[in-house]
Amino acid sequence: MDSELPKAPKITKGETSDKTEAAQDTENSNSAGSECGDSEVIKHDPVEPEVENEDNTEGKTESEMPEINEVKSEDVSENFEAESTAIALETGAFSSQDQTQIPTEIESQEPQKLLLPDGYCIKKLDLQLELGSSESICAIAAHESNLYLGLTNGRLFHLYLFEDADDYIAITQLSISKGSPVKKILLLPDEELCLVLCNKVIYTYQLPELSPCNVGKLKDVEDILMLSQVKNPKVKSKLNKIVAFTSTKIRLIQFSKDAVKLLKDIPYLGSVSGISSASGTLANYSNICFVANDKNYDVVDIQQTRRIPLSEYNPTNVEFANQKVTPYIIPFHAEDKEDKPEEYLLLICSDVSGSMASFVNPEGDVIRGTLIWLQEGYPTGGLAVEWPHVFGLFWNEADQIFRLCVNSLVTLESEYVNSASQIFDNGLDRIEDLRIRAVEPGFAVLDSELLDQLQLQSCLDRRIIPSSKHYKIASIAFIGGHDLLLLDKPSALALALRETVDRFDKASSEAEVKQYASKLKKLAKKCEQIWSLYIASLFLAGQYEEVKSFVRGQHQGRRKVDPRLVLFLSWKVNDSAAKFWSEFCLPKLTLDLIDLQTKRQDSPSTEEMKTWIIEEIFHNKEHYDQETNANFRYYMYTETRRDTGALLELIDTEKEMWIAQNEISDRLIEYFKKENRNLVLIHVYLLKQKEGNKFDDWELRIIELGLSVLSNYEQQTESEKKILVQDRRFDIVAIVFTQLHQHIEDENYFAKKLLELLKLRPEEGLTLLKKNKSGKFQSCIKTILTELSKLVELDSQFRSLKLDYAEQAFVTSLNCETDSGSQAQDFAAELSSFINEEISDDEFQNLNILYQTYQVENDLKDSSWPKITWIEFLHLHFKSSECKELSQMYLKLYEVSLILSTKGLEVDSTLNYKNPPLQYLELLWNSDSTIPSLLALRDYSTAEWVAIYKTFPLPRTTIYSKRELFRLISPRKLSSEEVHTNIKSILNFYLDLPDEEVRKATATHVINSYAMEHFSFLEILNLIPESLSLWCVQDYIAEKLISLKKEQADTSMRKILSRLDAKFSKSLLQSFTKSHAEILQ
Amino acid sequence: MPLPYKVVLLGDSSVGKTSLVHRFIADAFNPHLANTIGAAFISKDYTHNERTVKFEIWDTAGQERYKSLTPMYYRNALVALVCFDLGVPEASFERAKYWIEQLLTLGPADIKIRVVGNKMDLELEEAGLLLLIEEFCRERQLAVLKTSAKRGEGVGELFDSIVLEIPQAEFDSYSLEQAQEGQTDDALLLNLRNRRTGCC
Repeated sequence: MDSELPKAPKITKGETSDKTEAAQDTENSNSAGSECGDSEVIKHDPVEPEVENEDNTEGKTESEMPEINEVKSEDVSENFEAESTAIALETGAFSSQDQTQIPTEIESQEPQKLLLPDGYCIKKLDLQLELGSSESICAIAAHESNLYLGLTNGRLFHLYLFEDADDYIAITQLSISKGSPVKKILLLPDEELCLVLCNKVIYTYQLPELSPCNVGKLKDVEDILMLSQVKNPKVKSKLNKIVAFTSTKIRLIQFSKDAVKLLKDIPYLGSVSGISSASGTLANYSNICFVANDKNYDVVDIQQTRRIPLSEYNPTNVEFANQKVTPYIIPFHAEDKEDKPEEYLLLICSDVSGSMASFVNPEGDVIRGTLIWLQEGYPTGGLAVEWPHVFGLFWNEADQIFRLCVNSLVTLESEYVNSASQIFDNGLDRIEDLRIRAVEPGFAVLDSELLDQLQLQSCLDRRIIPSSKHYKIASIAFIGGHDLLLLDKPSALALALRETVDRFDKASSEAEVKQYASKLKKLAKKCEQIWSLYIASLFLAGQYEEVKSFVRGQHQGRRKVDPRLVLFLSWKVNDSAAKFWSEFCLPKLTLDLIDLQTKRQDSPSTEEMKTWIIEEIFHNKEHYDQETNANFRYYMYTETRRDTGALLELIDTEKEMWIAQNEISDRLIEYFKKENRNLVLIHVYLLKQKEGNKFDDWELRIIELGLSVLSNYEQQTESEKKILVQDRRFDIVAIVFTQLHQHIEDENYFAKKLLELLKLRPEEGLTLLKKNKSGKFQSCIKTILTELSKLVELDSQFRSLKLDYAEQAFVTSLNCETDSGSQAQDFAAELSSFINEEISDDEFQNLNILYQTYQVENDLKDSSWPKITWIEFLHLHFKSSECKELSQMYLKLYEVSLILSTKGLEVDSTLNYKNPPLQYLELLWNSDSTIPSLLALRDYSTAEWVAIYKTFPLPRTTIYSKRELFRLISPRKLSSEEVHTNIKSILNFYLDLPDEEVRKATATHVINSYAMEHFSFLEILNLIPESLSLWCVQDYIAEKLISLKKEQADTSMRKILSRLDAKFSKSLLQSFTKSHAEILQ
Repeated sequence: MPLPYKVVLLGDSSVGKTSLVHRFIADAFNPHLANTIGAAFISKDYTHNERTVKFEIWDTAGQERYKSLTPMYYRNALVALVCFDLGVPEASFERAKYWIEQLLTLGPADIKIRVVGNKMDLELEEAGLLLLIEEFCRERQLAVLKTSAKRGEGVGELFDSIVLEIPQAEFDSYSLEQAQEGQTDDALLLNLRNRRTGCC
């Protein structure tokens, strides 16, 4: 049909003849309408009209859209179409997806007038087909994302709209019939078939790829159309029946995937085109056809095989460019009527200058009125209806101009009349070849308005984020030459969306706000990306419970809501560095709406919502991905817990998260550091340390933080102070001490931090030190205590502790067999100091008494020997004395001093040596007068020991390890001469004693004990005074005499043996000499 | 009309699918063939061993861009020629594997898959990889053939084997249908026919 349209003569570009005059009243020239149904009676079936046109389109739209962001634009058109003027394209009719603009001559005119109904424009699709100069597009059909274009030379292109693509791409081309134009492409999607009418033959292909179907060819076909089907949910009939108009018959044919079946033939001569009416029928398909033959429009009852003439369509036999007038029967749904019944526009060529259209209902009755085109000629370029407009490409033979006329089906008035060259861009190949086509059920094209509104942008910086494309359905195309253009208007959804958001923003009452939020919900059901807008509107409308309900709903498997959205709405996100937010994007319209609500941050409710959403996500981790959980965990700490106590409680609820190493915990630790949440950090570190996490030196961190807390105690918040006072877990001194004591191996660090701790909290620190005397770094601790004592006024407890650590260090050095000299020196000094300063006078007095007692008890008048040493005496008696502490210290000092004196080391002592027992200790170093002093102090045994070993003796029982002490002292006997001299001096001391009995006893003791070894008999005899009888030393003399006798006998025996030996040797020599001589002889 | 037989060629870009078809249809080789866009349809009546078949060949585009389209072409196909490049077998067979798995999972139940190693003239001497490919195909009971569209080697044999594999019964049944059908439109319309389109 289309290819037979009279070709309009070429026109000069830029030639304009705008005719904007309104169409005349239809009553003036409705001549053809009177013929309708006036001759033959048409028998109508009493069945409801079948709605096929727009309803069918709606039904198919969703499935036929690309599989992305499908939009049911029709659903929203009802409410908002009338308001579309608000954002209609104002100046131009032509637009292109490649940004082709309206002719400049139009732009320069003021005021600019509209060339198309408001909101409409014409867009050129960038197909990039490689077409020859002689071929042009003449047929179009669409199925899902597939577009099929037929060419005048018999080629068929298959184009495909890839997901996320802007334009169709040609993927296949077939040559149907060389040289013959493709007249019509009819798709039967239910059977996945594509029928191509070319050169009066129907070629059959498979949808969507166009594989040939080898079902033969149907010939002599003028036109084909889909047979209208009754919409009956009980009957699952497929849309697989067509009506084929041939020169002699109207044929009803059923197609299936592997078969073609003729259902009926109705004899009818000269049919060229027609429309199957959806009028009432008892069958599953229509039985009424509006048919055009070479002269008339007829109604044909297929069932009854009857013809009812309607009218002539070219009563004056006009020809355009030497071609016959093509009849048009255009079906449409009357949307201004209830149930939107189908109506048909029948076009009649009045004369060479004008045309008219009458309307009939499915029963063939004339309705609505008449459209008149008085001066526009005839729509040789075609006619199409998009409610409420009729678009026609008219050729005017008189002024040789091609015009696009737009008329209203409601008012029946002419709305726009403009030359085609004005509307279509000069870039078109051949404007005169353009044909207007209704494409059922429409084809998907990029919805740039919706895409603009829903363009994803980063919520942080409004950066454009690549997002899914949105498509809408276009149903009117302009084809011709190498071009495909579409009559475009903003999708109903885009219009409705913009309108609702504008109204929402301007709403003055709460009721209005809720109303528009509710409208957004309806829109959101049609497009997934609008949900964010709806939720934002709920939030901004203060409908927090609704928002909460949404979020909770997804936990029960309902619609997913990105929790970031709710958080973003309630909080000025400042965490831009986080990948979590940098990837979060929202549709532009959502962000616009949020931006306009500048006061949203001030509301206390938003703060509550922020807390709510964070807690909600935190407590429903199983419903969210790892990254969301991790980040909301972070916010749980940073945004919902202001109090240290609360933070600590929160940590305790998820200890396992803290024990393990994870990125968010690390971030939180950094956050706590920044916020000086030292108690929280200590708690975390202790947890990690306790559970064996070895990723860090937790002890160092704990110590530093603990000391920081102690040094900045006053800067802690009240709640923190309360925790420090009341919570046993936060005994910071103990924590730091324990860390030092148990985990630190570096002595310098240990010393530094312990000193720091003791300076900050001396009493608590010392108490802890006292409780934990054992362990490492004892000498270090003692040094610290020494240093500390210089800085801080310390009490006796501290001195005692200091002494304890000095002793501990000394004992450790003893056991380690290392050089214990310095430890001993320190300890001796501490002891001295302590004795000097801490021991009471009473104790000194008692020790003096004890010492005096010793001297009394050790009197030489008691002749029994050996005499007890002072040290032994003290060991025996101090426990029962009144000076136990002093005595014990005294004995310790004795042992340490013994080591020091052996090593020749001094004591940095502050001892008061005026005290006699202490004077005794001084003797340890006073070597020249030691023996006389000891004798004077009546410690005779010690004097005798010193006489032999030049050192004091170790008592039988020692306080420290006797073995080690002995190792260190290593007593060695003096030389015989030195011992002789020393003993002699002692003997002389005794011999000088006034008491004769004592003198006798002591002299006897010395002679009996030492004379044998160190004195000659003669010397002893000389030394014994006359007053001392020999019997006193009889033991010695007897022993000596026996010794002499033994010596004499020994000498005699030796002489005898020598003589015998000499005699034997002489005899042997003689015998040998004799034997030798005999041998020689 | 000869028995129609739908064949689809699949495989990575530049493995020589179009050249293979070109060699079969025109017995020629053009080293400068452009990349196929979408798919190309070629039909040819071919006789071998006194059997004539109308090959309806869909030569699909190998580029990733068109991957989503390919299922529409192998739908209803009776034979799939999954091609790879013997010159770069490792890379090209990866995509071939994808199509094989795809066909076995989502393709027509009765489709016959032939794995075609094209560019035999550039074949590498690495036997190991080819052994792996053969092993892969053997496990799936798929025939592996080598061709060179450039030299014309193996191409005829490939299509011959397809013809030979068609059961004689199908030819007989098709011939019977043809004989029964009249040449008039009415006769055509009033007869049901079971087409060789692979439809269920």
